[in-house]
Amino acid sequence: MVRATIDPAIVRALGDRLGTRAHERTLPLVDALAQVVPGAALVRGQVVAVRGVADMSLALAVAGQATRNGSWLAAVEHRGTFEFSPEAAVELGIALERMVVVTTPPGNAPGAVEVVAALIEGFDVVIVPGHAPLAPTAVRRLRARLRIRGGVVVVVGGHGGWQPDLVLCSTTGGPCGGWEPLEENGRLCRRRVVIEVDARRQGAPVRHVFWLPTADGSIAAVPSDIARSVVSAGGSIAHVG
Amino acid sequence: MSGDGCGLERVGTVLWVPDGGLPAQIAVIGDLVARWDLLPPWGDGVGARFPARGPARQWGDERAMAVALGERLAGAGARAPGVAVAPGRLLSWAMSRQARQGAEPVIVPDTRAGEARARLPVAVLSTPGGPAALDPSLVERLVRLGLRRLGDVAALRVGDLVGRFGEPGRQAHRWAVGAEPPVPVSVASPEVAVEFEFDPPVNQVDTVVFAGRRLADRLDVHMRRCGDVPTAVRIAIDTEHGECVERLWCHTEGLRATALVDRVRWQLQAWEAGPVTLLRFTVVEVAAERGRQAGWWGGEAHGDERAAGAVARVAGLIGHEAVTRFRWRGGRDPSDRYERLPASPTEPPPPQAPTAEAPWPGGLPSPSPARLWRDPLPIEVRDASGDMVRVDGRGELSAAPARVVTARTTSSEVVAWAGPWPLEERWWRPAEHRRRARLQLITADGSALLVHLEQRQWWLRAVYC
Repeated sequence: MVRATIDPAIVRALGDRLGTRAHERTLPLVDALAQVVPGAALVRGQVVAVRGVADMSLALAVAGQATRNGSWLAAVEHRGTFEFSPEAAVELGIALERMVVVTTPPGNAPGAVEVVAALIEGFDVVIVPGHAPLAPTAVRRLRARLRIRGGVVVVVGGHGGWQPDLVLCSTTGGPCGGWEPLEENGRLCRRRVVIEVDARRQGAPVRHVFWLPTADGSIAAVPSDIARSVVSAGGSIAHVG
Repeated sequence: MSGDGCGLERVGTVLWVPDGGLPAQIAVIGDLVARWDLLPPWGDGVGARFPARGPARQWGDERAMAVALGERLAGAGARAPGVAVAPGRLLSWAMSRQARQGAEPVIVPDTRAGEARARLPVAVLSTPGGPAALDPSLVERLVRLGLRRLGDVAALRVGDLVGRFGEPGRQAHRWAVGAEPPVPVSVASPEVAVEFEFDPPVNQVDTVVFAGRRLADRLDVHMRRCGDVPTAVRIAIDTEHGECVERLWCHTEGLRATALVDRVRWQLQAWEAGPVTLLRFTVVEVAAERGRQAGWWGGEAHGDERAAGAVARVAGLIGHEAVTRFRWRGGRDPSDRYERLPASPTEPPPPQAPTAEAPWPGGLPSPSPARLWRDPLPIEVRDASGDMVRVDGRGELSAAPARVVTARTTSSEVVAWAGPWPLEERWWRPAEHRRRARLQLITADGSALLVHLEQRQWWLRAVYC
């Protein structure tokens, strides 16, 4: 009798082609953020809001590890305002070959919702501006699609009507905007920020101290002994490390 | 981009049919011109392209240089060489085809370039061997629409062409108005050399070429790992008698293994020497690797196809130019190092920064600001007395910055600052000369700004956020 064997490599390849496997319900996060976010990863179908003095860097840092693992990132900018910096993206760990920038008319012009819907269909991570809120019905539809598609939306600079599941709010972690060292004629080197992590399921928000950016432009946790000595301008640190 | 040739370098192109004497003809070009590219073959012919400025200076003027080149090539067995010098690759190549018909080189002065280009038939955009290399079906459709000359295409609005034909339509328009796509930027390579010793020395060309193949493959693997492709390689052949025949081979699109092996053969045949003891490749310049096809739209990963589909859909909603990707180009200014390209599904993936990157002089090191203004915003930077802060010719500030006034906020106090870092570009070209002094400012609310002074006005370039 002849036995037919199935090549496991073929089975694996088929699994890849079918898209996300059952157990892949999350997207990976860079270590520094994985340590402070509940579940140590981004839950697919969620909305993350980033705000404060380091909001754009946080948005890129949140997306970075996922793009390195093969996910595609779409980042929406409004025409006539700022643009995304490819250098900063690379420094924060974004795989630039999987990043697409979409430039839309400012505000929420008609068609803006359609654009975001199309991006949710195709991209694992979508960064959107958060200052002009979308209508609640639109947000409901987009979130439903997001859950089915298994992507993550990152809203920058405001909630934009999205009702986020996770909020990362950054404030300065010292004088001079938390930057150091900055002597006369010495360039900006790295910045200490306090990031408050507020997750729906977590209860009270928790604050952590980070270098964002570090000297090479990435994100890193500040070791707990240094963090303890940082007293932020508004209240004390509830949790260090 | 002006349409008459002012922005483009003067390029020399020569086309000919080698009739079996290619190495000797290559030797002629190599002896006359320091850096040149071998063009893709067309019909039975080959071509070479080179920047015209250097050789023209050596010969006194372009016509003398072109005549000498044509004569020497013919003397080395080239059939019907046609030499042309014109601004830009496309015009130069098209004119060298004309030059082959006549007996004389064709020299197009910058002032006549616009007319000459407008008269070119649209077919030059897709003729094999030409620099534009657009899809012939696009050219056919343009002709059927009644657009027969490049001038007709240039007269259209680029938006209409893009709307009708997508990204290839934009490219056609750019070539038609003389806005040629930039060649990949080459940077000096960190020392990379591979060599092969022949002991005992070897006389047969084929043996040396075979070793060259092994060396070239090894070099290829190393370069791909770095994400680079060599654009200038020096090939050195040492002989038993202590001579060394060394030639610099260049190709703006990159020299891969096969191309290097061909050049080893040509070098051996063109410049004969005794028995060979050593073959060495030294990489002199590299550019970022481009054109890795696998893994792009329709490639290995399901995610690629999904993203491609979304890009096409969004481009259909808001236009092709509104959906972009980054391609590494190199440069000093934060907004120049990467260029934005339409994320068209037909483009190969753009290359990323070469990992073995030599630092660009004048570039600001990391960390990089996360929000940029490509068109910087005008602002005011004032000292404690309320006067504008200036930077003198030595790069020193007139006074410490104390306040910064932007369009939105009224006025912010500067609590710390660093700089200035001067940047001077293109001082040799009065029309494009740029002098800038950059400062980092931290304001009372903790914001960190990157500003620069240019033409007596301060501008906000980026925010660290």
